[in-house]
Amino acid sequence: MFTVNERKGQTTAVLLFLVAMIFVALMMMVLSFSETVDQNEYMETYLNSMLISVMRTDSGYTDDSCKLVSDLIWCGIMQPSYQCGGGAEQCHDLATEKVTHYLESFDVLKKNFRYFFRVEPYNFVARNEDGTPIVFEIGDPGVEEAEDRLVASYTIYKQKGYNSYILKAYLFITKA
Amino acid sequence: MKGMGTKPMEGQSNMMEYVIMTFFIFVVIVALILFLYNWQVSQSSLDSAIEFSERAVDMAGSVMNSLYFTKGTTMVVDPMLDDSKLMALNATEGVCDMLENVFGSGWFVEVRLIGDEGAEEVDCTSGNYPDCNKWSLCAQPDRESAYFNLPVNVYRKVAERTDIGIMTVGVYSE
Amino acid sequence: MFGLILAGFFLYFFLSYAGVYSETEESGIRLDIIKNFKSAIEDVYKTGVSVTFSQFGESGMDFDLSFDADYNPPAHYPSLVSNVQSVRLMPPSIIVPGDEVFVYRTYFSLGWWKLYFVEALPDMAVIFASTDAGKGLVNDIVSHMPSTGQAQVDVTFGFCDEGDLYYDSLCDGGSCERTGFQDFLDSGFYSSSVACTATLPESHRVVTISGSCSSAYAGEGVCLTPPDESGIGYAYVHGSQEQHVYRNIFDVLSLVLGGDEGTMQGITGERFYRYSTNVFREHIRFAALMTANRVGMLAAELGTGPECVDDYLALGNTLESISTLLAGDYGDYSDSIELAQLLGQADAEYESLLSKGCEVREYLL
Repeated sequence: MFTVNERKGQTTAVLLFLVAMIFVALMMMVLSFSETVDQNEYMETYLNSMLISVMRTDSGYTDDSCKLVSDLIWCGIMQPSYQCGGGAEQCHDLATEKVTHYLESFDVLKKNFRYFFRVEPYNFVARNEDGTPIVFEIGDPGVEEAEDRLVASYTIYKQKGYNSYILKAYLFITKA
Repeated sequence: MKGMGTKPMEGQSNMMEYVIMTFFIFVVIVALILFLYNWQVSQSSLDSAIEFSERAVDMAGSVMNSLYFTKGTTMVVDPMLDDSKLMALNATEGVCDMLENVFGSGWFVEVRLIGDEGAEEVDCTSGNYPDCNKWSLCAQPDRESAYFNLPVNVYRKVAERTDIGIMTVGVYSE
Repeated sequence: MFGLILAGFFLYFFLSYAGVYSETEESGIRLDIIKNFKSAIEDVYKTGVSVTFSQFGESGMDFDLSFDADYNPPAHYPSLVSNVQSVRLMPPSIIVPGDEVFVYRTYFSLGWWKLYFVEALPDMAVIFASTDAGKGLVNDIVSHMPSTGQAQVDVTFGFCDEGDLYYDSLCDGGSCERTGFQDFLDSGFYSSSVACTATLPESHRVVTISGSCSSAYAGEGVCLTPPDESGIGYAYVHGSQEQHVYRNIFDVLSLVLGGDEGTMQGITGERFYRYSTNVFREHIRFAALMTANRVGMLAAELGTGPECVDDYLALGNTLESISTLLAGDYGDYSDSIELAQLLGQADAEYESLLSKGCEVREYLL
């Protein structure tokens, strides 16, 4: 028969096994909390659709240079002083106004998020008459550097003669 | 007890040790079983909730890419909705049954235009097209549903203009 | 001793739990893979971007997957079935199971509408035994099948003339993928007036095209009569006495890719054919009704002059006739001819709207 010490040893072994099982069960419980709905995936889809929709919306003007919001942005960078429909406003200002208006039509963006929208030439440089680069930015620049920010992008492509011009538009958002 | 030496006392104490240990082990096993069972049940209902909301997202993708709703006669990348098709669907008798035959059962879609600040929401009927800005198909407000909102463009066929709006696609719980 | 008994008790308990749990786990993994397959099909249907789905083979599990193509809404919808699990599948599809399948979207055009459908195909050799009159149909079948040149799955094509097989070295010393076979068809064609008796590659489909196809067809696969000027013909499947009328490429591919395998639910090609008939009926009837309402509304609203209005009204009338015809059983030859004529008329009316700028032609990107 086993001695007292051997019995104690067996009991200890069983206890150790139990502790290991409890530990495994706790780990499973902790890991189970990690399976939640990934809200970011939905938000990214929403954001991409938002940017595409804004870019393709009619601005209200019928000139070729100003018809869609993306046309207005193009005009704002390539011909910033052009006046759409013969009106008083220049297309750079009009583009800023329209983009802001349409983005803020989305309640979810307006109420819950901070955003930053910017457009940059991809394969060329656009400069003002004084040589300074033409900048197209709307919103809070700090959003671009925020840790949990989401981003959507849209390409504006124009062919002028033998040259092709590409503008890249970016929309960054982060929780307010 | 008087007359008993230390060895019998030691024996009794060892037996008690085993009894307490066995009881303790039994309690732990039962607790483990209950815990694992509850964990599986909660995982299952979480999976079910995720699946319900994913159905809404999938349905939104199906609608957004369907020729029954989108401009033109070709499935393209990044399509836009066509207001004349939305109106035609509204005017088609038995449209909900036909939509179910094509897409499956238990869902609804609403599209409303935004971007015109202060504009009143006008439900589209055959009498007021194209002077309206909201379409609703197969909505049953009393039923529990999961829905997904998606920014969209709506091509206004008569005015030949592209407007911006929000499409809400929802699925009803079975 | 007591410790041994206790340890034995634990071991028994945990082993039996693990056994039950692992069965549940495997069942869950199997269902997940089927759902992933359904998602892949739906994504290909929406985007047109083909994918190779290989999770069936990679999992090492036995799926016994089939496509339950019984489409009788609202009572029954088609689904992917594996053992006792099933997942509903709504996009029009032709599913041939395999460890690795290539998922591909194609369509056929009615002018005013396009019917898109998805094919999910494993490695497969499609062998034609066709008279010269069938060359157009061979071309049509091939052009609606995937080009798998860069994919892990191989869908290849060849000819058979009685006991002679033209397959292994038809294209640059090897078998032909779609592009190579279409290039070959431009300059060559192996004509045959008799059924194929050659030894065929594994996983094949035989397509015999001949004016003498009948319910007495004893060869393998499918026998199709060449289409008439309406694009309609007869089809016969090996193992069945039934005569089927094919009206479009979706019908043809359902018969061809479904094959002549007999199952408890019937011959697969025939089941897929009934499915394609029902899908066409439901989708196109709805499309015709909706489009008829749309053009009627536009005719009333546009007022851009008589040109657009008259053409819209004409198209609307034709589409209403189409939807009425499809509401009944349009299966027989005479109904199919009438349908083909109406569809041709609607196509021409829509083309007129396009040429007048009343509708805008979209281009596939």
